[in-house]
Amino acid sequence: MLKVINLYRKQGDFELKNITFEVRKKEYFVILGPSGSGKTTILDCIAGLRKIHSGRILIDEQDVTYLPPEKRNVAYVFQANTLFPHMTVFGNIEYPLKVRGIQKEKRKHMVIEIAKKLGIEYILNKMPREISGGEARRVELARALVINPSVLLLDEPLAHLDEPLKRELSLELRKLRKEWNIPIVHVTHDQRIAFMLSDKIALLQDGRIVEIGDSIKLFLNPRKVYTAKFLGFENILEGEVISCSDFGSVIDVHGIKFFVPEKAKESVKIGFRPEDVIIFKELPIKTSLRNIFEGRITEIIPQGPIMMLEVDVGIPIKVLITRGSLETLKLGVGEKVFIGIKAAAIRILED
Amino acid sequence: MIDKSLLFFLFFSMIITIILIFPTFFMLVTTPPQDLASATLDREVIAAISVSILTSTATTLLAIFLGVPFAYFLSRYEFKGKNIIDSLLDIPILLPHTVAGVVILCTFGPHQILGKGLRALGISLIDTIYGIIIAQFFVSAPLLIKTVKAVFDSLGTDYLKAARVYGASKIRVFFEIELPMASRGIATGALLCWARALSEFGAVIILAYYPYTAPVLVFIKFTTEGLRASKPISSLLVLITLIIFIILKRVGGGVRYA
Repeated sequence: MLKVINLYRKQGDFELKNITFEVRKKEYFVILGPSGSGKTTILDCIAGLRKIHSGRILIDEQDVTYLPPEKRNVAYVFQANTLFPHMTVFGNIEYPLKVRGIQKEKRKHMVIEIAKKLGIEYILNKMPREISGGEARRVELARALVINPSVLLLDEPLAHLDEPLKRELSLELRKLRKEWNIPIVHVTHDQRIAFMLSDKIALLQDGRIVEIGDSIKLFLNPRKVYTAKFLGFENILEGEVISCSDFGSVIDVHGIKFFVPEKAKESVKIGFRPEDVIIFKELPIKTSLRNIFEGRITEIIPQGPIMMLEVDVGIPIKVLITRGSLETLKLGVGEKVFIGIKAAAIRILED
Repeated sequence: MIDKSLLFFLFFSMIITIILIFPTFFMLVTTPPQDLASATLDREVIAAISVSILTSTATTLLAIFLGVPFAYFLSRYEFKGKNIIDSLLDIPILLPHTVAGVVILCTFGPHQILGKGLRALGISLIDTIYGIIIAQFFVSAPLLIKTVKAVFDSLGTDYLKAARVYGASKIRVFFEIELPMASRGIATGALLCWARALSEFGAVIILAYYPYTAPVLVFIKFTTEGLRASKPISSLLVLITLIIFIILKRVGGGVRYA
């Protein structure tokens, strides 16, 4: 188990503050945040590569806060390729074992074993410059895991890979969790990767954890505007509460009234995903939808098989529909439409 | 249709080629072979070229030995005054070379502070091989240090971090990871340093007029016997340095990490 308690580090103007989380064995924890939010610094602190000014770090109940990197038994896969270019793949994977003074025969056995597990035994004699990007990532993982680490740290390990390879390797990372009985901490700015892999997510902004929790719960029910924006809530609106009861609140956003099944105070922000907005050509008569508005399509932006529409209902609302639906409904820019949003899909958000 | 942009660039390339490359080539082809042959057999010439190659090689080895750890220190550690040291390293490169000779003499001369210390150890810099080496070192080592520092800078600290996490001490990472990775850059720096040391004249002549190095001998021949006498030695020196340079570059260029 990895415990990070109230970690604080100051570096110039940047502060890493109140960083507290716990990752159990077999748990996949993702720290999600934009570049410059302090993700890598957290990993560096856990690995002992950067000093912390206060707080504690515990690995398997042992306080490692003041231990040097080599005494922490942490594996770290970096964003950049850090395979030593003057050593073969075998030499690279063997290096951590060599440093630890493990005997040659045993080293060889361990390298081959981990290489088999990651499916890279066929490139063991190659130099890093002779292997592909995906293979290089696997070798880095092998080099990290060969020491039987107590924690695995992954710093944007899929960042520089093309899409198909990214998908392939992320599936392998999922498998890792099952095979290795250790906590995994993965930092990324990619929310898709984060939700694909994680059990638990922390959202990081300017060196602080904005929100932390079970990834599905966080995905469905973010509490903060920052989290919501990061998780694909592209419609974030500010309005005034005009009525509030036990059933919910009515919120006025520039004259457009939204019903939200939550209690709210005077001035609030609400958010919903563009995929939770339904589009109609005619006003639906019999429907349970509480939020139906009339508007005009102002823009259609293709996003692969999906289309992002902007509909002006007095305020601009983003809507996602499939290309097929767009063609069936014969929608175009300037067209009059009705949009419906399920009340349950709208979240009240805090700043 | 003539490519006008090609003509534009060709024009400047021609001028630069005439100024930089043509004179050396012209000197080589206009030196009569019999003059070149007799220069090759001249004991004084052979002695001077030997002194030059020996001292510049010694200078380069000394620069690698002292300069590589220093370049690493400058690249990897942050401390107050780092930028000042970095700028001061340019001084030996910027100084007129005779001034560099005077500067060294002011410190290492027989009656000066460090010179006295060296004399106590039985080392004199005036008119000795040691004097030539220290003069060459003063003007050429900064080139190696600057080149090697740039190489360590370009490697970044990720490799260091990776090796540190896997348990290697900083000194072990330096010798096992970063030094081999920087080897090609170090070879380039050493080659620059060697070429600079070999060609040094101003600082050398202030400290050690004798034993003659090749550039000093060329100067003496020119001032005493004129252009015709200095040309064959110059051509011989050009040929030898070119051959060594090409060999070293090939050897150094063989190690390639991407």
